[in-house]
Amino acid sequence: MTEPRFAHLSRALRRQGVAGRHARRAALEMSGHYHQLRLQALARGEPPDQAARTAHEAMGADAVLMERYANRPELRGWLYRWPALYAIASLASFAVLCVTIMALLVLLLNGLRLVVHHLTVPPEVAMAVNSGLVVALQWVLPILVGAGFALLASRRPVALRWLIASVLLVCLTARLMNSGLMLPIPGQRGSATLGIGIRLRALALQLPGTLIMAALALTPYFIVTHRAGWRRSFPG
Amino acid sequence: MGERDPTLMAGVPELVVLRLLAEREMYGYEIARTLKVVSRETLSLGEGVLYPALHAMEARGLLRPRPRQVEGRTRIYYQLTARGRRRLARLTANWQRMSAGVARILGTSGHD
Repeated sequence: MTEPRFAHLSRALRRQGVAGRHARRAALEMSGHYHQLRLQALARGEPPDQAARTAHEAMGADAVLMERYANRPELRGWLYRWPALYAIASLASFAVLCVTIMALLVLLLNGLRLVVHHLTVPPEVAMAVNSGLVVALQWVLPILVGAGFALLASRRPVALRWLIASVLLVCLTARLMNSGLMLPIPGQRGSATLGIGIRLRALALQLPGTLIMAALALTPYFIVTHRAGWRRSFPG
Repeated sequence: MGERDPTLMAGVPELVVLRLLAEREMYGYEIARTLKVVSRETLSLGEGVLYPALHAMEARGLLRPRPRQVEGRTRIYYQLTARGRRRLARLTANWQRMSAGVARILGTSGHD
């Protein structure tokens, strides 16, 4: 009964927005405190079961402790104190992934050129690879990044408006991006491009696509939170 | 143990914890127990007050936590930092000034 109580306490504190290190340490310290109280009760001559009960009762209700932690803003996690960072973190993750993927592809192609000196592919293959990359980088990846951050938000105290903002930011950035990978075709060298262009007209044109992607990215979040709500309402 | 008025306890946990830790580093249970013994059960801090207060003082740079393995369990010992010592000096001075003022008032009202 002891350890699950404190593990549950740690999870509950984190769900409330308490920083992970404080939540973990609270559980560790409370568990140690309980252990000492139990030893004290045993030393007084209480039987083990009674000693455990006495120690639990002396510890008081977890709800009180959670309230005390919640009332101290300095113990809150960064997500709770600066929720806008969630949007920036999701955008930064997407940007890093895009650059990493492109860099790996360029490295791979350069490596292949060392092995196959005159590497060329038919134009149809080059076009298919380019289209595939555009779909992967500008559709699939932002949806996956958005969904990942959305699922993370379902386990953290992130307000829905910040979650939606971060997913929209990632999706809109993806829609405004220019990416391409042209493999070398006969008579033409290969090239790789990755950039972003912001024009007001382009922004308006990309909005429907952005909204569709954001809706797809947020779907797992709503399924998970809906199921969690259902489980809380009807346990077992 | 006498009845405790929570309105009189504001700021007291921070002051007494800093004072105890000024003597030597201690862990949570030890702080709670020492406080009870030294104050002859006039003061006691429940776990619900003590741990959030310790963590908050650490977050404000007044205490430094130091994990130690004791009998197969990890204990977090708290040490006072330089900032914690300055804070203790300020709180002690404030407390002494205030309690002297209250004592004077209580003394005068006794003669009315």
